[in-house]
Amino acid sequence: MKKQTLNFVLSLLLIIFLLPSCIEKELDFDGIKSQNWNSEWALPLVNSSLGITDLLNDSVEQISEDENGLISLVYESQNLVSLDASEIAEIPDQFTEISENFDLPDNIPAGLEGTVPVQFKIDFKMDEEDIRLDSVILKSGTYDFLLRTNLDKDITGIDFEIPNMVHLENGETLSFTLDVDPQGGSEISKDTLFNLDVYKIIFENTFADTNKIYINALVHFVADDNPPNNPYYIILENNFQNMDFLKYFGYAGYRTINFSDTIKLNIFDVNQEGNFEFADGSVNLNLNVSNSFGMPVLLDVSKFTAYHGENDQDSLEIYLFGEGVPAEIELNYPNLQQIGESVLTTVEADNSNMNEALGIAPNKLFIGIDGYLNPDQNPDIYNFILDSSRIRIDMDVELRLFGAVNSFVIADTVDFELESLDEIEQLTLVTLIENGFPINADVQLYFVDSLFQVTHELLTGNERLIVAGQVGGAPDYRVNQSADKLTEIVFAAEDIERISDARKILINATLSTGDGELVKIYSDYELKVKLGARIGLKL
Amino acid sequence: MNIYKIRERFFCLLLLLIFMISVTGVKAQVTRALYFQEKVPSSSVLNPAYHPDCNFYINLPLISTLYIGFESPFSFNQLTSPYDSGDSLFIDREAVMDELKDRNYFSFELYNEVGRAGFRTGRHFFHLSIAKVFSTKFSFDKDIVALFFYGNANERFFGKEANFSQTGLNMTSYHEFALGYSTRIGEKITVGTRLKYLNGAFNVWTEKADVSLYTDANPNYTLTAASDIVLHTSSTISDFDNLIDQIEGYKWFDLSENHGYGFDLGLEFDQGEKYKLMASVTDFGWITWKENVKNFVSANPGEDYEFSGFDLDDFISDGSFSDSLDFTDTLTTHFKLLENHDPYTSHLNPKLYLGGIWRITKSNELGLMLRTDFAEERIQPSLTLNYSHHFGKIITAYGSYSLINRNATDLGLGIIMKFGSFQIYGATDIFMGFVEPAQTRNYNFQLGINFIFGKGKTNDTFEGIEKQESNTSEE
Repeated sequence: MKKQTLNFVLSLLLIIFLLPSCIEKELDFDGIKSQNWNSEWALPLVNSSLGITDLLNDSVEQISEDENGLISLVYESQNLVSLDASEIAEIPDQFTEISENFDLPDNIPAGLEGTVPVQFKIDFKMDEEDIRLDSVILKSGTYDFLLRTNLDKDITGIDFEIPNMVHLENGETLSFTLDVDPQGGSEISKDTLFNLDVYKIIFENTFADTNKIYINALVHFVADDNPPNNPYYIILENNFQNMDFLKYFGYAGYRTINFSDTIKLNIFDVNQEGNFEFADGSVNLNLNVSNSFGMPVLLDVSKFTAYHGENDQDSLEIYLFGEGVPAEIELNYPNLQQIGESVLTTVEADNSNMNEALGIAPNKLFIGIDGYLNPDQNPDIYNFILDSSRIRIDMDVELRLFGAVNSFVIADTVDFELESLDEIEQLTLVTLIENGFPINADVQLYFVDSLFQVTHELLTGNERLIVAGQVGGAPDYRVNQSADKLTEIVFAAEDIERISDARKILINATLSTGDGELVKIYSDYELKVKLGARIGLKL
Repeated sequence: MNIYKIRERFFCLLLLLIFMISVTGVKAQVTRALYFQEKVPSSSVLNPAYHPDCNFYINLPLISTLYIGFESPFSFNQLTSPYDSGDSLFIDREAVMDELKDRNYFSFELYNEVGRAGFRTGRHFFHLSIAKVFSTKFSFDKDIVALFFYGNANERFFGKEANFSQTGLNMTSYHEFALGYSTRIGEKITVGTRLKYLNGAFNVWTEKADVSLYTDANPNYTLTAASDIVLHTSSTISDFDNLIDQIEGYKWFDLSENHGYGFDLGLEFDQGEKYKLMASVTDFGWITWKENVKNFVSANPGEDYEFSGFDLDDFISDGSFSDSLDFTDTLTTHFKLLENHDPYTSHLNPKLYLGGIWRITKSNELGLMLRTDFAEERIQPSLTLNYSHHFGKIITAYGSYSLINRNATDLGLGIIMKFGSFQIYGATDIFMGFVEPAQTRNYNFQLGINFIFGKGKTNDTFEGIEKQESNTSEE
């Protein structure tokens, strides 16, 4: 019995010690390599409700709507052309050296005082001959006055008066005296400096001689025992510098100035083919010119062209007032009672061919303008210019979204890169698009690699992903029933592999209204986009 | 019809009733077949009415009773299948799904008696024991596995709501200080109780984890989710970043301010020669957790969160597809868990044992036991049929057949050996777990060493004691 018991116990111990290694061998967790099945997951990706503002946000500067909610796209070129006073009129620096000879009387007894008047004339040289300055009020500038003379009498002084320069505050003319202290017969020089921002300069003009100011000098001397060493001379060096005017009166002359600018119509940037056909009266070109120059100005729109395409391959000349009619705009200008004000000139372009121009889906409008100041070249017309005077031309193109869309093809490119697609065995994208807009969209997406080689086409041919809503009749042409479209796009494993090589997606969409019917786009239209994915995963 | 016939039929009826009950997963702290081995002191854990077959016993720290059990809803072979090439395995989801019920769990149990001692005085027997108890149970719905295996576009979930309300982690560790007492009443009846002071070490209790997910079958597959979570924790574990290190560094023998109490009740009716009937309820009790408590409660319980896709602006910006789409802000805000530190009370899982032993011969016994676990508002019955054979006075070997966790092939083996005062025993309810571990869902074993002194009293002895006591009371 004891031997049997011992054997039993030993056997039991053997089993206990061997068991763990048996269990470890049986439970081969390291042998589990992978799963042999796929799981399928459904995920919502996109749920968006897009209004016209969302759809056109990047391509339109301003979206407006009328009282009925009809949408207008407004492309503005604020400050299309701006012409400042400094570009039209300036007073150049002046340096004039003028001299006069004079004799001192020799019959004055020694010790008595005598005077001799001498007059000088300064001629202001302007950039153009026909410019006439009547008066200017300067906001800055200096007048450096230098006297040189050979006077040799004792106690000699010279009084100067410039009657054409009037102090703005006290109304007094510019007067000053220079003491001259003889230096034994050698030339004496004296100078003084004036700030011109407190003076109004009133020029002397005659028919033949313009832009003059005068300096009156009175030479004081004391006779001595020596006779005068006649003739004496006075030389004045007049240096006017950095003159900026506050107000300028006179005649600015006949001038021509060229302007040009470009209006970008981004909405057509991505267009490749087709067009928008805007209904009559749906395109408005507004040109407004404000002018605060007190002079006649004529603008001649010498070039107004619509361009389509990246390389301007298509273009169309736009006329404002009818074909063959010169595009000249005579600007209103302020009179003396309106000094400081801007006067508006509104250009009516009802006979423009803008509708036709938009038919080529232009992505830019180029405008070139020749401006003429005092086009009649009549110096009798009194001009004034303030330092704040300017001509400003604003242009906007208003597109009321009323018309038809004819196979309007848009193309765009977005960057694309997906990682870790190895686990995806199948992918199904499901779109449900509820379209409240009256426009169909046939869409194709091309996945391309870095060399723009197509690796995969999303759909077989262009598929209508978005179906136009049903449009009611005139005059509202309003969508009365939206349209739903459900589309399933299946990617097999090999498709997914090709997509993984893609780096960009070329989006190609063709927009159209049904059979060219007229539609209107209202602000309450919505495009509801739902996108979901069913993904087959092998983990 | 004599009383024995009636008892015999009742016993058979009980057997039949027990077999008719379907069986689900249960937890244990002692192997089931030990219920029939009253001579092992640790069997009083299952029925406090038991009197060990000795006057005094003690076991020693470190070489005392150790029970380890693991239960899984599927076996390794059910989880995996070989590829045709035969050189590797894959997870066989169909087989796994076939095995899963609506509610499933993994559990791990460790019951380590640090020390135990007991003595008899007259008809009374006293036990004193200290044990460390660790149990963890991760419950999960079949749906959550199906979601992982098949995805939400599978017909199981497509256009339907999936509920994961039965998913959660419950983990607890505590020290059990027990005082057991049993006494004979009359000739055949023994009653007993164990009063327990419990000191909680750490706890994770998922009181509620109602999570739902609805996948709309219509484009664009809108997902609607809601959660209502109440999770309690009491632990010095501060975060999950270095969980293993923190568990390893846990001071297992430190007592805490997490006090709890529990009790067991037992009854034994010993007919004498042929039958013995036993009944017990164990693990009535609770622990109030106060130390390092963190409770996490859903900020928006039951409120739906709907995700129907990104806005197109989020998808494409500046001419490129976005590299990443972030909706975690709204997600985390909605499903945010608010934290508080209020004490909470967790309950033990009571168990009801009903059993009987048929003494076929002096050396052969047949026993049957129905155990019912009352856990998490569910009743989980299990059944054990036991055959014991006594090889003299030294060795008792027994085999058992259990229906545990829907596994109807759980054959158990156990052996008790006594060499003088030295008693050693080992047992498992699932012997196949050692022979064919890949085919077995449950594993458990128990080992123990006791030092036993004195011969237990027979019924004759108790009769003498009773007469002596009745004479004393008459005087």
